[in-house]
Amino acid sequence: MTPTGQSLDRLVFLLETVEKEGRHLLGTTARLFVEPIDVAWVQRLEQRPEISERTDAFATRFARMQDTLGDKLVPELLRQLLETPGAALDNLNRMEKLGLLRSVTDWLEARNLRNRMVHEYMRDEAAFAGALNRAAELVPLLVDTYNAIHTHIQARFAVPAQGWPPELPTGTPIHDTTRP
Amino acid sequence: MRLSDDQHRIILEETARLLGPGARVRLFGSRVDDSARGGDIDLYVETDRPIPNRAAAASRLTAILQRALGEQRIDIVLADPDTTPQPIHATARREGIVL
Repeated sequence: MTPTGQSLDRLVFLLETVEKEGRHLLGTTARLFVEPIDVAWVQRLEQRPEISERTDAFATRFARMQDTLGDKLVPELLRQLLETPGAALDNLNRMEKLGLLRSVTDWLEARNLRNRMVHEYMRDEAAFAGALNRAAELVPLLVDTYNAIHTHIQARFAVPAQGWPPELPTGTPIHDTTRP
Repeated sequence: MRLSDDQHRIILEETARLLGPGARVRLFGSRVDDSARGGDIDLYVETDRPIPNRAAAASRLTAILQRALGEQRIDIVLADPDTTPQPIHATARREGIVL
């Protein structure tokens, strides 16, 4: 329990969820970006169903981690810090101010890229390749945000019975942690 | 056209800052219609210079404008000389208002 008597259960659960989602995203990122992604690569996707599925997995995992972080973990963290979560943009600005988010603009850019990783595939191969490559560059933004929140929480709250989930690995090369 | 003077100015300034002063911006979609209400801000942005990563540039410009204008729904179609022509480009050129 925190000084206010709020249970930390939800915060710990969400931290664990984002950590798992982050590991899955890092694994898919490492497996997908072994080849340079350009127009020719996009054109070959039709003949390579496994790579095509991996591409979908990357976009899905990127979106899932960003949503759990931004829509669930961040508001819960603010509640635990005795703040009132507001509109999404207000919460992001607050995170930036707390030093837990590197850049609100980067975060919004990542959000906007997600649509382009889905819709550009059929109509604009160069834009689709560009969206994937830029999203890969922004994976560390999500990972670093998780790690910053993780550190912030550990410094403020008592260790829960089940312990804290681990930090996510940072830097390149990205180690594939999900391959069996 | 339903954009405030501030919104109009911010859109032009931020587009020029990110893509250079040669970028042309058109407002199209429901915001062109003075009798409609609300709706996304649909922008068609054209450049004479090739943009290295159009998807990233469009996502970044959208993010910058979302921050500057508050959390509006903004949809940007960005076309450079290398972009494959799409029906939406012709529609935006025909119906859009140059900002």
